[in-house]
Amino acid sequence: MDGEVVLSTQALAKHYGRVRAVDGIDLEVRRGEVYGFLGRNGAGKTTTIRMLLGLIRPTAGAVRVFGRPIGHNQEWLRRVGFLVESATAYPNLTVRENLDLQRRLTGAPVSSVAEWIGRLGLGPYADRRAGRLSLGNKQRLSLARALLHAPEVLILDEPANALDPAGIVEVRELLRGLAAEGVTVFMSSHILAEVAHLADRIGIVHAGRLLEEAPRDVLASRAREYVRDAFTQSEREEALLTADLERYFLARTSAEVAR
Amino acid sequence: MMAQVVAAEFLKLKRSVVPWVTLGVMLLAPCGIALFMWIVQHPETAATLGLLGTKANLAGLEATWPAFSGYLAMVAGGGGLGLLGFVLAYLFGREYADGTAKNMLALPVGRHWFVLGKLTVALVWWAVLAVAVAAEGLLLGWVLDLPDRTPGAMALAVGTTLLAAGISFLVVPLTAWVTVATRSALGAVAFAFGTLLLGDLLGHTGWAEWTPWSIVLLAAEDATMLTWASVAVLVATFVVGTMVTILQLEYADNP
Repeated sequence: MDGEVVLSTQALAKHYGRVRAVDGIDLEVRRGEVYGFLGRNGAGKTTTIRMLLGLIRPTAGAVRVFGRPIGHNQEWLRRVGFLVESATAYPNLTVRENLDLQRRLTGAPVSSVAEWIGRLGLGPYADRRAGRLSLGNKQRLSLARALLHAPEVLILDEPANALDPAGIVEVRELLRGLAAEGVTVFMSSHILAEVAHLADRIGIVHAGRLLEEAPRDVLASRAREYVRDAFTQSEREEALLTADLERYFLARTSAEVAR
Repeated sequence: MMAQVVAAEFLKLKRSVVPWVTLGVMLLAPCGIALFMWIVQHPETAATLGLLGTKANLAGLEATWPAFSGYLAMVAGGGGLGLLGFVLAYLFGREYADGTAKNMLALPVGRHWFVLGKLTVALVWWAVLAVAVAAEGLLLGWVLDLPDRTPGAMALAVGTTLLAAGISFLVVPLTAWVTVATRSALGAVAFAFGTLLLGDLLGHTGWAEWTPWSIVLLAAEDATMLTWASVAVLVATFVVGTMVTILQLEYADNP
């Protein structure tokens, strides 16, 4: 994919004593691209994202955003929206107040609060305290917070966490729409299906290292080859049946939500 | 940017019960002092109270305006080390407890603004508590009709209470640093009350003039103990405490 590199890391590493949480990761994410950062729990995804946002300092290597190394001047974060790990908010403030607080500090327009409350289906909960929201709605609130100031780049750590199937579909559609508008998305997940639907390119991270990186279609054909060689016909049929059941379940529950 | 950050920090306190709890705790202290003053004023009635009366007599309390005003100042000074430390631990520590620290630190706002914004909120919060204690003290002293009540003595009571409260604010940024360094309010509260104890202990030694926490307690007891050297120590403590808190957020790993 061509285009300006908006997010990159060079030999990025983070060591905690002898533990190499991230061990020399090179990444390049281009404008308008959706990059899926796939790995098991503990693979180094969240540590990488924390370094991308300047929350923790790399042991070695560098992070560049919009072509510049990130530093103590946090102005570049005005162009970045993020969601790190679990959804969090000020529990004593309502959904609207949490977003208003974010709006004041990011310089987003006043209208953005109502806009994102509506777009993420938080209308019925707008005046409910964040501490009393379900996990799924807290996640929606965190997504709204990330999107409030119309960022050019979204860095999302497990964005579908705690969402129900219908919520996952909604978020997927939302991110697809944002990507179509030219927003660059860097999203991590430990669930292949979550990134497979969205990502243009997928990087597989394990034990702090980038094992493989390829466009989604290339990775999919490698996966098909591997499955054909490594599994029996009945195992493949079983997997297809599970996938079909999952699609059916999503379709049924989405229809109920719509009704 | 400071105005937005301070407004945001005040908004974070909305519906929080903690400011009311601290107000309640602070307002209890003058009531306790007034109760002892009343017992000393009425020894016959105090005798019927048993141990409480005996203890009050053993403490050698005087039921006078200067004595009452001295205790008020001790509430403001000692309270500053303990309760204001708790306030700082709450303002900084809740970001870690609620998991919002990462959201705050990755905003397009210099991290030093959050330190300065939270200190500003703490200053306003503490000023309200100190003024409330001084006002309550004046009211209780008037109700008790303590001897030596002159306009000058009353003004001195208010002045020393506010002075003690003011100088205690200068030492608490170190508590903010302990909170962000340990990412926990609990350790910071322990630190705040530990420094209160340390200040009291070192106040009896030759180091008192150079130990910030002792200076606060000594100045609350007798404002003339506040020398220029002591003021310099307090100001240096404030600057160092604020700077290390900012540097911790700027350079250390954050959640």
